[in-house]
Amino acid sequence: MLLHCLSAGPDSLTFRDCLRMRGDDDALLLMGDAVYAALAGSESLNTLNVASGLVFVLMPDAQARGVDSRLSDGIAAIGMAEFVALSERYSAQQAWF
Amino acid sequence: MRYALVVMGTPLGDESSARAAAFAHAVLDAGHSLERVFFYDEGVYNGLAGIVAPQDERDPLAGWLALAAQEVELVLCIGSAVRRGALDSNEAQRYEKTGATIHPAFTVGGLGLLVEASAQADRLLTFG
Repeated sequence: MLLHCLSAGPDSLTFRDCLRMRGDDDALLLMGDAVYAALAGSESLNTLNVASGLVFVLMPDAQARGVDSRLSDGIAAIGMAEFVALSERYSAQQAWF
Repeated sequence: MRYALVVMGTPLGDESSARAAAFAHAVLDAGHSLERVFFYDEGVYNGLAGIVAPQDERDPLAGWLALAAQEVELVLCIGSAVRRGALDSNEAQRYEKTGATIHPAFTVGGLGLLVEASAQADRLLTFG
């Protein structure tokens, strides 16, 4: 089980590669420009498998972009302490940037 | 748990290196140990001593220096660093440059230190 840390924007090839490589049990943490995928009504939202309950968005990065009030309800917004907790839970991390 | 981090983002390019520093502090706050941060590729710019942040901007060096004060080892990849002019006094002398350009809280070292950190740590996270 991997923790995928995705910071590339939804229009990038890196973003698509990450989603393609993500296993069913893997967690996905959206950070940097990837947080735009977590906006309610965004086209990318449907591709994230939010129903898995394993999709998270890094709140400081959403706040930095002024979109924290527009995040989809289905995605858990987390801070740095919860990011550390996620890294405890998943034995390996893959960074996509 | 024992953590090690790899930082590949520049201090000014986007927020990735600031995110790495914030994560490092959160690791320590959670009671884990963080023994080494390895700066690779463009990440070595984080060690430059001469960066001057405008008054209304975050000082990129401050977060790292606070970690060094807590005994976290900050290592710049020597291959990445030398080619970018990020030199300690030894390297400056070796290549006959005017002087060190990195902050003394950082050291330069080989990739072996990254391999060692990844072998010893329970968790290795990369920030790019």
